[in-house]
Amino acid sequence: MSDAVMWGFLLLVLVPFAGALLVRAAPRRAADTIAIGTAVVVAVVAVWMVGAYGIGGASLPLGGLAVVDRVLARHVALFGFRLDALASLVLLANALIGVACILYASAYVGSKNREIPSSDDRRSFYFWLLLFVGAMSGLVTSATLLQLFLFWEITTLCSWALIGYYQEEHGALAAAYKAFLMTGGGGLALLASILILLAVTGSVDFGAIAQLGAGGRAGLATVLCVLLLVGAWAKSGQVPFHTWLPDAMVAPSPVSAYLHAASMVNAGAYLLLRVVTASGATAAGAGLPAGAVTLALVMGVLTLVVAVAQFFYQTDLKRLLALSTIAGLSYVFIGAALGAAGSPLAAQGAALHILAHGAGKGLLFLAAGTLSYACGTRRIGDLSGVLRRQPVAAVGFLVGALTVTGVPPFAGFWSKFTLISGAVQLGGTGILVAVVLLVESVLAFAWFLWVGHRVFLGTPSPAVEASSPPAKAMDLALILLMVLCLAVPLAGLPLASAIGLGPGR
Amino acid sequence: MATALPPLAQLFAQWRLDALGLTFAIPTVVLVLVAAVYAPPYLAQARYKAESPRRFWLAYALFGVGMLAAVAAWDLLLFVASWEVMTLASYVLVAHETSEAGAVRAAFKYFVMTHAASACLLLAVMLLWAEGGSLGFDGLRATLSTLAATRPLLLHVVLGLLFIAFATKAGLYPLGDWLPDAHPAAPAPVSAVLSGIMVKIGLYGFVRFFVWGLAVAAPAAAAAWGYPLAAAGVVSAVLGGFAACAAGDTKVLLAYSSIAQSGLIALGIGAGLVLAPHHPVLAQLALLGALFHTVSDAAVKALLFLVAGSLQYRTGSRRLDAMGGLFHAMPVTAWTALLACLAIAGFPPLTAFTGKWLMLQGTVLSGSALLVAAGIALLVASVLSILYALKFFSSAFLAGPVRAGALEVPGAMLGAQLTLAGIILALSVTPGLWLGLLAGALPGPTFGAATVPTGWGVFAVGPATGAYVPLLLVVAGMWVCGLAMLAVGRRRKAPRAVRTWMGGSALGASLAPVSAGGFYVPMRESMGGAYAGLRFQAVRMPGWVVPSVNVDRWVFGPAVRAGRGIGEALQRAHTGTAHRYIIWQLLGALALIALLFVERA
Repeated sequence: MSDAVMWGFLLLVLVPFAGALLVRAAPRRAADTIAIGTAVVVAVVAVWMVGAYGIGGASLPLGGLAVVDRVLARHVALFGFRLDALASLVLLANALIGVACILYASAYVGSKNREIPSSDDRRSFYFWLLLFVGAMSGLVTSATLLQLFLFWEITTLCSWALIGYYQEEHGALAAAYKAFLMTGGGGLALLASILILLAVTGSVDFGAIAQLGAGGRAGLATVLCVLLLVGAWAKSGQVPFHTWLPDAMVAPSPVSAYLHAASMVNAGAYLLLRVVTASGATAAGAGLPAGAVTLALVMGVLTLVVAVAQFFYQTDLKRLLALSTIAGLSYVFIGAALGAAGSPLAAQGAALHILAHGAGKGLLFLAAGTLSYACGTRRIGDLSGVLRRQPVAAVGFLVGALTVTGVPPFAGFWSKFTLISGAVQLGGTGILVAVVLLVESVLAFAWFLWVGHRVFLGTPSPAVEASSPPAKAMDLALILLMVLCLAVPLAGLPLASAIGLGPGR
Repeated sequence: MATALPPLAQLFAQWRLDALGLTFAIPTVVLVLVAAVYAPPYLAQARYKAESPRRFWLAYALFGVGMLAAVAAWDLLLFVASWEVMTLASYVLVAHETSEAGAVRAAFKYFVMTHAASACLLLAVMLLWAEGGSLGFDGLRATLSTLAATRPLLLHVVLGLLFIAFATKAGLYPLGDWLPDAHPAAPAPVSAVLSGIMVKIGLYGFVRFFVWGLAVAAPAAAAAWGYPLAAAGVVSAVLGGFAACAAGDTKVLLAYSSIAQSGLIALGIGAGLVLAPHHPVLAQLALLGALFHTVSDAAVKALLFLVAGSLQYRTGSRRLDAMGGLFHAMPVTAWTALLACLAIAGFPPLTAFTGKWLMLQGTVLSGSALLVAAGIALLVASVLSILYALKFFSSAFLAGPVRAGALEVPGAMLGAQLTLAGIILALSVTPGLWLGLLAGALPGPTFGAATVPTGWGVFAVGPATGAYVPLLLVVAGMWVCGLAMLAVGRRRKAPRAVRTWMGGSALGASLAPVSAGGFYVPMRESMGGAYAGLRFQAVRMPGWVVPSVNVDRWVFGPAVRAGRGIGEALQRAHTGTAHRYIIWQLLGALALIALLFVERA
């Protein structure tokens, strides 16, 4: 069995890397096939691994470095792979939404795109995208903070390359640079936290910070937590590092859907959840320092409020979705913080929300992308009456909006119900947070409905009248994601219920 | 503290239709089917030509399923999920006429208000789960009684949230302000189902949580909440009645009438809750009256909305001023409308009278001053219902010159109307039978004390007090009518055709009709504005908010510029000329030598 586990982990990381190199070297006509094939293989491996080991767990320790062992005078496990319920949820998000986005990109990125026509040579695009798939798979299956950091930095690089893909577009290179500076800067903070942790405790386990705090050095543990949080906030676009995400919308829509909604931005939230579930509950005497947990909760709520407040000013559909992504991720941060405060339900809801929100938000971005591909614009004011001309995109937008705002039976309802129930169970502040989350839910849904009504119903505007029919690959990708939005609770709820708080998780 | 959601398989197995659920489920199924028969010819009108029938039927199916699921759910999570599905599907249906801006706005207002109510319901469910540890209805009573004993404040918060949620859905004042906008905007079959059943599902929530749950678990708390419920009911009934009398549009009139009838049912439920601890017999009467009125009003209100739809179908307008003289042109519709109007006005032997009769006894015989006042308000509301029923029927069918030509609506629509009329008649003639069934829906032993009426009559408090046998009335009425027809028929003369006489000058017949605007002018002027609706102000954020939280402007922009400035300053050291570099090297070497000398020393 351990052989199968080893092959599984290695395939998850190596197949996309190999695919990236292959697609770069392959002839132009074969690029689409290789990319989609690689994504499908990764998805199959991921589903198999989750199905076989998702709830039970599997791990593959890979030892450390001789030089570090010499300096610290003992053996330190620096690298390793691990799959458990939490990693399974994020891995599924990464793999399955990746298939849809790569399939979509094979039609979107090219000369037929009416908004931003580009070259039909997609090889360099696929190279970075597949590199990212591998890096993200490695990130979620990492067993230590150091290995997670290595893959983290690779995703930062891929994000820079992909945001700036449309090099001639106004502001694309500047947006890529800004994203790189912010996420890279956050990465440096994360690195500082990891190195200090290694030097002081001699361990880079996820639960090491909590052990530091329990061992009496609460001040240092708080500092390390804050540095880690800075890294997570920068990666996930939380306040005060949230300004790169709306600007990153110059990227092609599949990139926005995959990296900046469903996958990369979840890395920060995943990191926090991973540390929280490995540390145990603060109330029980173990766990992360109370100050850091409070800070995470406050910043999460602040991010939610700031993001939703800016909804009502947006005239660009993708910027609106970017702000909605920031709000959705703040849900996960709030859930993680509440989990650290002692509510396992909140942590479970947060984990499930990563998958549910990713599927829904990915669907929204791809639907918006179909509109810009076909109609040549993404401005809300220029689009109306889309339902008649682009029915699949309209239905996709609707399903995505229902998923993200939490309407049964779509995925978001289950994750939000679990998360907010977890908040209520803590009582006092928890009930206040629950009220804020519910108010945001109602406001966001109302605004999405208003925008959706304006864009999809009514008489078609000139841009919509002249729209071209969408490609089959794009429609297929949208349908795949719609099915995912409905199917997530079936696999996601058992996985989420298996997540608990405590050392050794 | 629960550590995980129950497994999905276990969650989705929690359905049960007990007697209370059946009381609401059967009217749901019947009305959904009847309206579905009515809908196809109605939707074939020109105004709905551009809309997609597929969207309508998909939303309609989801709507029906959602409502059934809401009454059949035996689990809090399933209840909430069905509630949301029902709300969303009904929003799509209300906004069916997408090209009409007013309809879209009304649907949006409806959506925002009911979604906010759903959020309150969600929070209440989560609080109950957090407290009780179980999501099923089986544990609901235990949770409520534990809360009442240990954390009464939290119990009242939960009950307040539930109250807001159910009152919004039921259309009680002032939370039901979405009703007068949404019901007229929706197509007629949808309005029929919305008024007939969906509003009643809000009242089902009250009965399930407050009567079935709370009154058994914590009677004192239930009695405390009975007062605000009855008060909301009284206000809705009276204000809704006045607003209906002032309305000039068929569906707006019927929408306000829905609010009024909802208020009456809420009054009955509230009175039942208040009376339960000390007067269980009267409480049972009030609740039976409320439940019977629910079922009867479902049929009556649905029929009225279908009639309004038929009128709109033929005349092209909803305004009462634009109608008139349709009695002979649309005979079947007119007779069904007459039946429905008499029913809603509360004429014995028709259905609404039975419900109101029982509620009246429950309130007036109680001896509590507040409840007696509520009973008087019920009478006021009944008088108002006579007034607006009269206005509706007269303006639409009687007043005005007779319109020639066969203007009757298509067969499917007629069939639906006749089915509902038949149901109303069946409910009217044998109330005892239905009341016997409804008594099984109330949770015994709290409400099981009174004489359960069965068969042909309603023997409410006893054979000598409040006895009412509608069949006798029907038989007696038929005798009297038969005798009258015989008497009149003997002395019938041939009709003469004369011109309308208008006091000296011969004016045209068009000036004769009584316009709808002429009804109740003094009342309209004094009380017509009594139903003050909610007006949403568009919230505008001050202009300085967004720039002030722009982190780029205050933090990152200056930081990056500073970094770039430092870089550029350092870059000036690289001039590219060899001389400068040699000078730097010399200086550096001198500094190093100086350092070494200092070290030595």
